[in-house]
Amino acid sequence: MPPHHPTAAPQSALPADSTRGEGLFARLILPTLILIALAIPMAAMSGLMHPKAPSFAPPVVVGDEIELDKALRLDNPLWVDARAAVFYEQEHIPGAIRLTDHDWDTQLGWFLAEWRPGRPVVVYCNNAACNASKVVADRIRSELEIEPVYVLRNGWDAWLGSKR
Amino acid sequence: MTSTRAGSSDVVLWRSLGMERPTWRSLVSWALRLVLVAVFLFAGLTKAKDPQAFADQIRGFQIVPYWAATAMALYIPWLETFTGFGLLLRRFVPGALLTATFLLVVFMAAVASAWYRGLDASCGCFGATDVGTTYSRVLIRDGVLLVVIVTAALLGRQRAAA
Repeated sequence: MPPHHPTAAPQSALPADSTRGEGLFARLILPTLILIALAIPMAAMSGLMHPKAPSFAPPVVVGDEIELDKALRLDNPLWVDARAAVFYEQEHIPGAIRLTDHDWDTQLGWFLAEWRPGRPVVVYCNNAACNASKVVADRIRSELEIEPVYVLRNGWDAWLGSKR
Repeated sequence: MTSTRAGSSDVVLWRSLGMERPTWRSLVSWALRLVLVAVFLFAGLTKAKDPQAFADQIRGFQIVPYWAATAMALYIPWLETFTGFGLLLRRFVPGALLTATFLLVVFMAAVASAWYRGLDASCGCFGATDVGTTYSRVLIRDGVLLVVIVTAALLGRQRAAA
C-alpha cells in the first residue's frame, strides 16, 4: 500500500491545475485552430452578403484613366488628391486639393470653390493598386454631374516617376 | 493562526465560485487582456464594416496579388474579432494570445516592408479611422501591443505554474 501524504494531495480541481497535465495540443494549438476556423464562415458570409464586399478580380478599366503626360497637357486641370491626409501634407501635386470618399462632405466645399465649368478634373491616389481615385472620380461624376473627370494612371507613383 | 484560517476561508470562497483567489499577477494579466480585447475587437469590427476599403489598403502594400488582398480583407477582420472574444474565454486565452502575436508580427512585417520600399500605403490597422497614421507610429504601437501580449502570457503562465 502506498504511503498516504495528505499534504501532497491535489488541493483543487480548478482548470489551472487540471490543464497542467494536458498536452500542448489541447491547451494551445486546438484553441488556436478553433479561432482560425471560426473566422472562415464569417469571412465567407462577408464576401457573399456584405454590401461593400471587395471583388476578387481587378476592376475593368473603364476608359477614364489618363496618363500623366496627357494630363499635364490638359487645359488647367484641377488635381484632386484622394490619398490619406498624412501623405497629402507631406507632398502633393502643386495646386492639388484633397477630396476623399471618407471625408467627402467636409472637403467638398474646397473642391467646388476651385472647380469651374469645363475645367477638367484629374483624381489620383497612391499607385496602380489603390482604388480611392476611382471611387472619388465616380462620385464626382455621379453626384456632382461634372465632366470631364479622369483618374491618373499609377497615381502619385507616376508623378514621382516623372520627377526622377 | 487566525489569518491562516481567514486565508483558507477566502480560498474556499473563491473555489466555491469555480475560481482561484486573484493575485496581483492574475489581476494585471486580466487587465492587460482586457486592453487587448478592446484593441482587437475595435480593429476587427471597424475593418469588417468596410472590407472594400481594407482590401484597397492591403493592395497599397503591394505584397500579395489582387485576389489574395480580397481574401485577406474578408478574413483578417473576423480573425481579429474572434481573437478578441477568445481573450475573454479562459480555455481560449493561450490560443488567442498566439493568434494575436502572429497577427501583430505579420502587420509589423508588412508595415516595415512598405516603409523600406518607400511606399505610401496607409496602415488600415483600424479601418478608416487609421488612414493618417505614420509607419513609425504604427510600428511603435504594434510593438507596445506585443509587449502587452507577452506580459499577459507570462503573468498568466506564472499563475498557472504557481
